[in-house]
Amino acid sequence: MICVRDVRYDYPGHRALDDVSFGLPPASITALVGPNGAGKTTLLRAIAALEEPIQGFILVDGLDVWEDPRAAHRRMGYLPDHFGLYQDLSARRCLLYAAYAMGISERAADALVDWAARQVNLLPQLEKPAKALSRGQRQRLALAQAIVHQPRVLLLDEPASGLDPEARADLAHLMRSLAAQGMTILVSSHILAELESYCTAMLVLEKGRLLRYQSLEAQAAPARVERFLRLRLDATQDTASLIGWLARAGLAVQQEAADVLHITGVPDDTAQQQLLRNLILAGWAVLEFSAHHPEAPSLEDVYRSIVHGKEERA
Amino acid sequence: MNTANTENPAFPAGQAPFAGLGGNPEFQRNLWLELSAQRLILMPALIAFILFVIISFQGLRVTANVERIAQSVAEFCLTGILGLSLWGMKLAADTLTQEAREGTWDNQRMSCLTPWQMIWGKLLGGTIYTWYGNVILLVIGTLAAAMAGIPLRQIALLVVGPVALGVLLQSASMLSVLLAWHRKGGATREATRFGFVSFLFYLFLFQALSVGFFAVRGARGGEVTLQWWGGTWPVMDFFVLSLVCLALWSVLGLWLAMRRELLEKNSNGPWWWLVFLVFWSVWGLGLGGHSSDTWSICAMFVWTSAYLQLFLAPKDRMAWRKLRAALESRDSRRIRHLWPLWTISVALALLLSVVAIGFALPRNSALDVALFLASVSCFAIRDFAWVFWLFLAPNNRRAEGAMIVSFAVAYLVLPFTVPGVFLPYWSTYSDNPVIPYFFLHALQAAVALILLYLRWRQVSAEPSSS
Repeated sequence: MICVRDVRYDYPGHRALDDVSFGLPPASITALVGPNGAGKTTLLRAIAALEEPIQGFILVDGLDVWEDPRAAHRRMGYLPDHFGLYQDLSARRCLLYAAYAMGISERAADALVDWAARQVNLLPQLEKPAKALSRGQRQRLALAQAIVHQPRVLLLDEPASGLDPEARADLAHLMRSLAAQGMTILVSSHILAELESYCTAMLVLEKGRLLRYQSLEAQAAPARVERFLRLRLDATQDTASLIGWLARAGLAVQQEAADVLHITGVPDDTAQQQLLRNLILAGWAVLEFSAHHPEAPSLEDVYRSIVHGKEERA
Repeated sequence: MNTANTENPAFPAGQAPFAGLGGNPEFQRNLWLELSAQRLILMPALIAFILFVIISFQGLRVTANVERIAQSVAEFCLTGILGLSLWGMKLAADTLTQEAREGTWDNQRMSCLTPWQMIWGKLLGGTIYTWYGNVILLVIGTLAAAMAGIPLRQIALLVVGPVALGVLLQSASMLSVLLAWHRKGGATREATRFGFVSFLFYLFLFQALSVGFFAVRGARGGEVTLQWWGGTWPVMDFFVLSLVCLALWSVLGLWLAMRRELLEKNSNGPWWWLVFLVFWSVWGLGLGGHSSDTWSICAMFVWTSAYLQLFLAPKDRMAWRKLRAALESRDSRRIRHLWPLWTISVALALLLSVVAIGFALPRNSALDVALFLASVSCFAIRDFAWVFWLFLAPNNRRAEGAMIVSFAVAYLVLPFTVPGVFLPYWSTYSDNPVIPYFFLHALQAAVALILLYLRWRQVSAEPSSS
């Protein structure tokens, strides 16, 4: 849905983007992370056809954004870091204007305004002037403006700054909901923990260079199957027989002590329940049966491993 | 609701129909912001109060009669329209500067609004309150002028003139903001400040044009005439028509600048600029006939426009690196988009200089004419090379100030000092001053070119896009 190839962008005195290339699949939510000055905002603005790179090309939904920026804009929604609102207009009029300006017909605009306001929990505040809204409500109004025309691609620059914890949770829910409906979302943030709950992939930028595109689903999946069971038996039990019994069931067993075994190879909760049932039915005197899930690496862990891995290679 | 769906009724095929009054959302937004019941009542109430005061004072005079009172009312209306136009000029510039200040300009750039919708949505919508007052004053003023016995043709000119002046100033103030953004590479605060400074220029223009308007009106229009392309024109008619042309060109310029800002395709085409130069050259030629002086004036006008374009164009390292990258990659779209238009003005100015010199040939020797042409070219080379030397510096924050000071020195100090020192020595060898002048100019051009070459080597040493 988004294809970026060899994009280079210079500011006087430094290179903001250095041959950046990546592709994002449809309906994905990608976290754009990196330290201050990494080029996150420049990259988002280049994708939004607001800053023209020196070289390279960017396709959004198959359109070269610099060949036909205006057509590309119709497919995009963009929430800048320092978003703007028409402070003297009511929230409803702000949204109506955004819808009309994106070419929505008057007939469809009212329904879309209500839809967007509902998505960001702003329906009760629709008649208030934008300047009378709280910081968090204004942020949500700006987000509603960005999605009111139901774009295929949504670019968000620090969307959660200024939101309280409850609103952040709502934002995560909204992101998942929009992606489920087919929207491709690229979201930048400093706060990795807030991205963790909804992002499906991560782009790591540093000093204008793309360090890694990492699918978080692929990263998390193998970790979750590596569950680890601890079994403590009555001292009278024949541990060697039990090891053989478990091996015949296709499980890997390690003996920690005379009465303690560690079992791996149990793929999921259902298999774990079945194993416990079988042990009891077979008459094994089990005193303790506990499962340990090695924690899936957090987004921050993945980010650190990528950045540190790069430093070590250097 | 299914998002991002091609079948969604929110995305009808082709160009989506625009909602809002007059099909222009930007105009409608400005109406929402500018017009309220209180403001709609306040304007006519204020005008009625002032008229009441004028009529009361006039009525107290012994010599008062209906004609005299009507003339006072008409004059007040004309003054009021010019005053409101001045206010509208500030409001028009605000329609853009506020977008930059409030951080909403990016949203507008990403909207589906066409450049025309954006222009008249802002130009008329942002100043709608002043035009509301203008319409009231125009109606009252026209009736009063008719009662005062002013001829119908002159009344028409008195209506068209101020309206054209208002459109000219308001569109020009918006244009100056857009040009400042283009020059600074974005809607930054610095660029907006520059737009405000250029707004002061339009205040002087307003004063000059309105004073001219009153002066022409005072001359009783039809009584004073001028010659234009052999025809005799009443001065007031000619002045008002010229004002209308200026206003139309200003709106057209605004449209072109808005096209570029809204990332329209092929928005950096040279054709409109060429037509503009030809139009005003023809206008100027019509005033003076086909003498060599007239062609020289035309050439000077085009040279001035080239300097103006040079001043308004982005000239820093980034601009050149972008153009260089486009040239290296042979990306014709980017080359067209980035190509500096002052090059066209320079080419046309050189052409006109040759024509002017051709007209001057019968009066002068061929050597003098050739040296004059070479001198003009050296001047241009010196100035352009010097400007680029300043702007291509690694730290060019003070380049503008340095450019203005250096031009002031070059045109106001050097011509009165250097020849005074140099020419007495030359006069012992020859009495023809054209040759030493040419060598002086050539020397300056050579120094400027060497400096630019050294700077260009620095720029070229930076990493390129390839």
